[in-house]
Amino acid sequence: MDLSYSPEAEAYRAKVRAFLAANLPADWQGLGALAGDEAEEWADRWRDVMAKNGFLGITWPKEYGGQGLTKLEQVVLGEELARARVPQYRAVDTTNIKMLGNTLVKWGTEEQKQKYLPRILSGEDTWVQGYSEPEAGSDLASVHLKAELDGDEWVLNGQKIWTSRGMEGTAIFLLARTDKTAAKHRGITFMLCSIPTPGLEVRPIRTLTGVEEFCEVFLTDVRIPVANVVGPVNEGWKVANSLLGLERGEEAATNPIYFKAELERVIQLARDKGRINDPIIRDRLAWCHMKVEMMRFLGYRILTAVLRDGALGPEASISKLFWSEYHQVLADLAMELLGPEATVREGRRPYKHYRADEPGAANSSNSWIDVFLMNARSGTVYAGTSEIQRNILAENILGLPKEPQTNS
Amino acid sequence: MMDNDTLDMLRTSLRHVLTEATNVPLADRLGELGWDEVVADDPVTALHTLFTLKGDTVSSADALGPRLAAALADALGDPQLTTATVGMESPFGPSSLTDGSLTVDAVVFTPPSDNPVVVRVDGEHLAVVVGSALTCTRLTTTDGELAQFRLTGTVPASQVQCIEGATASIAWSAMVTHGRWLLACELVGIAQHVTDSAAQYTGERIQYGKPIGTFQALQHRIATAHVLVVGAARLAEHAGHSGDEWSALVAKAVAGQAAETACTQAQQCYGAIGFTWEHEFHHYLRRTYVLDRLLGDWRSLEREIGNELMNSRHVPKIGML
Ligand SMILES: Cc1cc2nc3c(=O)[nH]c(=O)nc-3n(C[C@H](O)[C@H](O)[C@H](O)COP(=O)(O)OP(=O)(O)OC[C@H]3O[C@@H](n4cnc5c(N)ncnc54)[C@H](O)[C@@H]3O)c2cc1C
Repeated sequence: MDLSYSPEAEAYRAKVRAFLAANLPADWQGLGALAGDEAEEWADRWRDVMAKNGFLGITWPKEYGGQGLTKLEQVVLGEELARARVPQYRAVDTTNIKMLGNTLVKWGTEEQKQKYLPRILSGEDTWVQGYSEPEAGSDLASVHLKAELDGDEWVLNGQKIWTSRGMEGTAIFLLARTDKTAAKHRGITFMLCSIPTPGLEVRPIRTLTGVEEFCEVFLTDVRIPVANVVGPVNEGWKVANSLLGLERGEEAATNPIYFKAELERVIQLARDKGRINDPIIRDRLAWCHMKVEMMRFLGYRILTAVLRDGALGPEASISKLFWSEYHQVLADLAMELLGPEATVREGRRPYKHYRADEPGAANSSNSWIDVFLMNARSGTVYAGTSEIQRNILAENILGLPKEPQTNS
Repeated sequence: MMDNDTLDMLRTSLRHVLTEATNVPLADRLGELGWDEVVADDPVTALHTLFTLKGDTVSSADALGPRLAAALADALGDPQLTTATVGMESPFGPSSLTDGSLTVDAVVFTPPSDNPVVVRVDGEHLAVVVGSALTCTRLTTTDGELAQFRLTGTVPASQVQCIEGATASIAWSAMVTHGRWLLACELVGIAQHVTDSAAQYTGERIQYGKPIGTFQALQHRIATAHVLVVGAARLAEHAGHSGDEWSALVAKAVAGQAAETACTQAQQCYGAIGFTWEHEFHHYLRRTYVLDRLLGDWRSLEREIGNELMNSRHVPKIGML
């Protein structure tokens, strides 16, 4: 574990701080302090400011609109933004910049990089993720979306589901089955498809909090030019998996900052509710504090590995399990502190539907009800369920015998 | 006592009444079943069956309100109060009584129109006021489907009937005990339904070429819920037969915890579909959190149990234990 940053990284930190000081209002409390619509508008505007000042996609090469910086600088940027209580980008940019953008940098053809990367940074294109299917959830490698080659086009038939913020997408990246005869991991191809496209239909799915944030996507004879394949044909599984390493290193550094701010809100809630001297509540708050501290050091470990080896080790599963299960306990505690207030919806809802509500959010029931019902509970399902993470740790890391029934 | 055939028939008709799409109030539909006679004949079995099924079907009909009024009217020996609406604790603040006037803040499940409303001012004071003197606003609730209304208003003392002292505190706690038992039954109905549905779903959902119920990680989740549910069901049954305060308190605490556990375990088994309106689960999840918070959530009841054990220095008996 190496906790020191290079002089270059520290110089970059100073640059980020100066930018934030110049661009944020003096009394900035965080996105959570703004009402719902205002927060959306502010986040959109802020994204433009970030883009114009060269703070989006900073590890991407300069010729595609990036800054040619290293992962360490990306981490420093993430840390400083989290401390300053500003988001890196809009909620939908997680799949847009972080997932697709980074994948294209690594796997895209020259033509794809020139065509798409600048449009991603400018916000002209918004990519959403089309991996899961009704029959392919945890067992993602069994995707069925049928792709058949017809001249210089792939013809797609099938369905995707659980596409986050699908209605906001101007394009979707897909995993399709291009070789039915190969072993299941080997017949998958990563493809790009714009929205709208003839034969492609996006339908919203209502989530339990009443918000329409998921979508299902139906594809009937959708034609995609062969030039829209990312990475080699039939090697889409490798392309999709390389994303993980890119994502998780940065997350490891910023998660503890957001979760610490969230815990402070809960401590304030305990004060507001006159429960701060209750020994049981104090005990549970102390438990949460210890977990957030552990998260910080687990984060440094991952970060060190990513920066040193450029890849993630088993820590990825440990980290995912750790923060997602911690967050459910924290959200339970907040709901308990709210008491009868938790039955009535008051105040603004969270801006995003994953992890902590934005810094500055009031301790209103709507903030916590949604964090509890949606953000915290879905954390143990998306990006690999807790069961799958434990299987990986037990079988691949601890070397335990495989569960007799699994054939993956 | 009801025999098994009669009970089966009752279950079938109640399930129908609870799930039919209609605007006719539940009380009227139950009336057509000859419900009053059934209750008079065997109140414990009748009410246990109704509330357990209500949980099982996540019915949003107001069955609890009339029962709370009946319990209060019974305890006070005042038949007029059977048409009353009993005000529950409001998240916005308490009701208060000063020399000149009553200020009401309470939550109810059905607008009282011009029926009497009973609110608790403090441990020793209940106040009765006519519903039309209060403002009734529908709340935006976490549940969404279970209607809840906030009653507010300030009424001159001259229009308030006051019930005081031991009469007030004994009657209120009899009502709370009755309500906790019924809510325990309803929460058990939810917990059972959620556990059974999760068992069914995991038996059908295929991943990696086999039902996900083959994976012991999920089997253990459902078994964990089942253990609590079975225990909670027995306690709720006992609370009905004994009718005592302590049993109802324990039954409601355990039922709340069982329903919450069942929901938590089931939701993980469902994966993404459990977060949507494509599956019925979300109704049960939201309902659990609202019912658990009526007449004391399971964690605060647990504290009450602990305090009682430490103060009395004796462990009250439950049933034959
Ligand atoms: C909030 C949210 C956002 C999402 N966004 C997107 C998106 O933008 N794009 C996209 O493509 N997908 C998205 N998903 C889908 C997500 O990737 C899947 O939900 C996830 O892969 C699980 O699949 P499933 O929901 O089909 O559950 P299933 O795979 O059916 O799992 C059900 C249960 O079975 C368990 N299970 C399965 N296999 C095993 C095993 N071998 N051993 C033990 N237990 C097992 C699981 O752990 C789980 O408890 C999102 C999901 C959520 C909840």
